[in-house]
Amino acid sequence: MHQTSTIEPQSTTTHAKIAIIGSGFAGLGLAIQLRRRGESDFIVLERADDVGGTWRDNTYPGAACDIQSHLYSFSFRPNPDWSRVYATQPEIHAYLREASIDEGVQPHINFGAELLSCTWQARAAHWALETSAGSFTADFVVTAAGHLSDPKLPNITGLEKFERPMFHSARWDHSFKREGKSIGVIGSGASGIQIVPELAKTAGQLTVFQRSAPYIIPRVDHAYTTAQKSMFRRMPETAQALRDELFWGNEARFPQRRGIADFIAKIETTALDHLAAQVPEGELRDKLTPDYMIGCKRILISNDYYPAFLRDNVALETSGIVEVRERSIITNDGEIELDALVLGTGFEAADLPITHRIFDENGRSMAESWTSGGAAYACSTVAGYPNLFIMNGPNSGLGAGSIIYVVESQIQYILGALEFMDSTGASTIEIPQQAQDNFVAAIDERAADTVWLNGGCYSWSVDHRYGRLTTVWPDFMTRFRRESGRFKPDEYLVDGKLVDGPRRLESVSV
Amino acid sequence: MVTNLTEPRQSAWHADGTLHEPLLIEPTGYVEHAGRVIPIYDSGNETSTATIVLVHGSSGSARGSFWAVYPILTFTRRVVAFDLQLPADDADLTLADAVAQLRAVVDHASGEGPVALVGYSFGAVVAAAYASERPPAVASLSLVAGWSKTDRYQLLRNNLWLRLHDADPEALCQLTLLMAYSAGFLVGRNERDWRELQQAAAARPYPVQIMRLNRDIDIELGLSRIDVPTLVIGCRYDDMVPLHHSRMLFGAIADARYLEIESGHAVSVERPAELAVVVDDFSLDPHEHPAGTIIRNDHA
Ligand SMILES: Cc1cc2nc3c(=O)[nH]c(=O)nc-3n(C[C@H](O)[C@H](O)[C@H](O)COP(=O)(O)OP(=O)(O)OC[C@H]3O[C@@H](n4cnc5c(N)ncnc54)[C@H](O)[C@@H]3O)c2cc1C
Repeated sequence: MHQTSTIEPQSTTTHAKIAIIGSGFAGLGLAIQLRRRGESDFIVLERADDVGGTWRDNTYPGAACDIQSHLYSFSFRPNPDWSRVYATQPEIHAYLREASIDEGVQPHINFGAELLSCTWQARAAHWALETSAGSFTADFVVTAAGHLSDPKLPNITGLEKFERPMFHSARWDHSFKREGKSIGVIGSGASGIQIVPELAKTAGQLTVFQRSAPYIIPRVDHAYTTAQKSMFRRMPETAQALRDELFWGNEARFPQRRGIADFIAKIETTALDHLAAQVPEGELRDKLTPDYMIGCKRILISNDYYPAFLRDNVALETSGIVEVRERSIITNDGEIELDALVLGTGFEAADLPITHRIFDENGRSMAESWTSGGAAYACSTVAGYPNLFIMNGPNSGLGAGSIIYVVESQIQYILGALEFMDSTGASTIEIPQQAQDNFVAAIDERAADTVWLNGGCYSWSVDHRYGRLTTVWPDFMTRFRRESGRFKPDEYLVDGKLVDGPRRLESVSV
Repeated sequence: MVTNLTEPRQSAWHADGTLHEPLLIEPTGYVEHAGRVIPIYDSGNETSTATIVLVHGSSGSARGSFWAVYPILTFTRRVVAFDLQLPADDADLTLADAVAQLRAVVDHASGEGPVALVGYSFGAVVAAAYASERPPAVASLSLVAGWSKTDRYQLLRNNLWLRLHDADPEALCQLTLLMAYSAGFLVGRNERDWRELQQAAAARPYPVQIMRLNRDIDIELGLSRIDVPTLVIGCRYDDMVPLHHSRMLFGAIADARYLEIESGHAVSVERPAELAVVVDDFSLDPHEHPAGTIIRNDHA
């Protein structure tokens, strides 16, 4: 499948109706639905050598989802065999891989094909894609390149000088032998709190460098029994009922993000009581007590993170990192010698790398076009970039809920748009700037009342260059689907013209 | 149809970054009626879409029925709730009295236009009885876990409830938990939430006057007179007001549509977000689904 890279592509350029960038939950989900509809004129470009995205890359010890697996999976490929409430990385990766094989998606994927640039060709009315594995053209492009897929490294003096093993949580070095070593972990976010209890078991000395203490609530996790799994298999409606219950349970967490006092009080006491139950009063508990309003940063779930700090070989360092040296970290309190350094410092979420590789007909990147941070109509389409849909782009993340619900809403939207284009025979579709601005203004208005912008923390959900909430959806998931899950052509320019009269399509269900 | 987003919104934040107090504790005002003052809770945000008026259930207070649902509804519109006032000296509450209080509240709340009336449980009975008078101040009606005529099954439970109320508060609390929540919900709670549910049930027994009135409800005759678009919401695992009551309401009200939520009677605790979203969507565009539609909420 691999193409050879050439500069003068014309003869080796492959054309497809649809090009999908990325083969994580989003890209695979769309590819599966295209296949199920009998569409075969599409390609998937994936820079790595396997499917799975997040669940291929995050192989660190302890990696697991933190939304229940019966909800955090495709509704159209239910899995009665989830081993536990929160499946671990190998199981989720296997689920995605199996889906890609079963559904006949694999032959469409070009592995080792990193998208380098993607430029709109107005005359030809298609996209020209340059990749590390050759050139392609496509009538439609869907970016499914992830919102948490490019590791973010901390901006710390001397980091590059460290000469011992150092790696990001999403690029775990499995050749590293951790037993007995002195290991540092920078970051106490979602990945950090999963890694720490695992490393603590065998490390000689583990030092956790924390900038801001997270809120942590109990992880209500258990293995599913054979009887339960068999019940889910024999009576799929029981698995669906569980999924619905989990969905609405997560929806009921959203009022926390709107700062509703009763909801805040309940979740805050849950978290602080959890801390108090696991860590005795004193300096350690003080350091582990957050100083911002709950929900401003992701609320984490763990039963074994706090207890790890009660071990003799684990220390919590909060005095602040001054610099990194060849074999140590200098803090405001002194020097800590390290055999290895793990960076659990998260991802480039607000300034999405892929948007620096998508260019309009004048060569302006999508990132540049966003003069005040990520913005898209229906969280999917961007003015100036026709025939292109973004998955998990602007305002598509969640503070409480399963991204798969968002992904499936977007799949539905894109299929609706593609069907519309097929039915009209039109060749281009583009959202006018004004329609996009109106849509985004309505998001901003809701965002203004949320904890992300009021809770007194430095959240990666916010694009701090502009003070705008650009990564998460500031409303219920159900509202996302209602507003962005059903394609309506009304506001689009189709072949340069507004569609006359509201033309409604039957909604496509996945 | 999308949420109307150009409305001034209700923010939970003060300018200094602190939060508002919990809602539905301190009344925002009072409505006078027949010499009594009825405490009301008015979210106060201006909306061009219909104000929602909430009628609480047998718990006896707006907070008891709507602590979770009320704030969610205020995200998109003005919401008014109130605490029904019970007669002094344990005198009997009548349905006519309850309806009169509701009328007074609606008259107050409908200054900007007809309201979207939402009644839960006993409150659905009151709301339906009021709506059967065809008040011009009501634009739409949502009846959540309501009924029209008390039947033998309900009486059986009510008998037991009254006996335990006088004799055995602890057993009364257990009966309430059994009847109010679905089995799946009770079983699925962690220890902490389970303790809280027990404490809440013990702390706030339903007012006896409402429980006595519940024994002989019969508003069947009025249902055919209801002429506003109505949404009937039944709770699939409801042991207090079993599902057949909601289905009868759906049959009886000409301009009704119907939706089931997978919860026990205490839907506002088990599925607050689902209930609020469904009611909000309906109140915004009551005619989105034609009369007779059985609405199925999308599976996740
Ligand atoms: C450790 C961890 C745990 C998480 N747990 C949860 C959870 O419990 N619940 C939840 O809802 N969300 C969770 N998330 C968020 C998670 O990222 C999403 O749920 C989901 O996996 C995103 O899927 P995606 O397909 O959009 O992106 P990804 O899975 O990131 O896939 C993107 C793909 O695009 C490829 N790609 C990127 N750029 C290019 C390029 N230029 N050219 C070619 N290919 C490219 C990448 O290699 C990758 O395969 C978690 C994230 C992490 C990191």
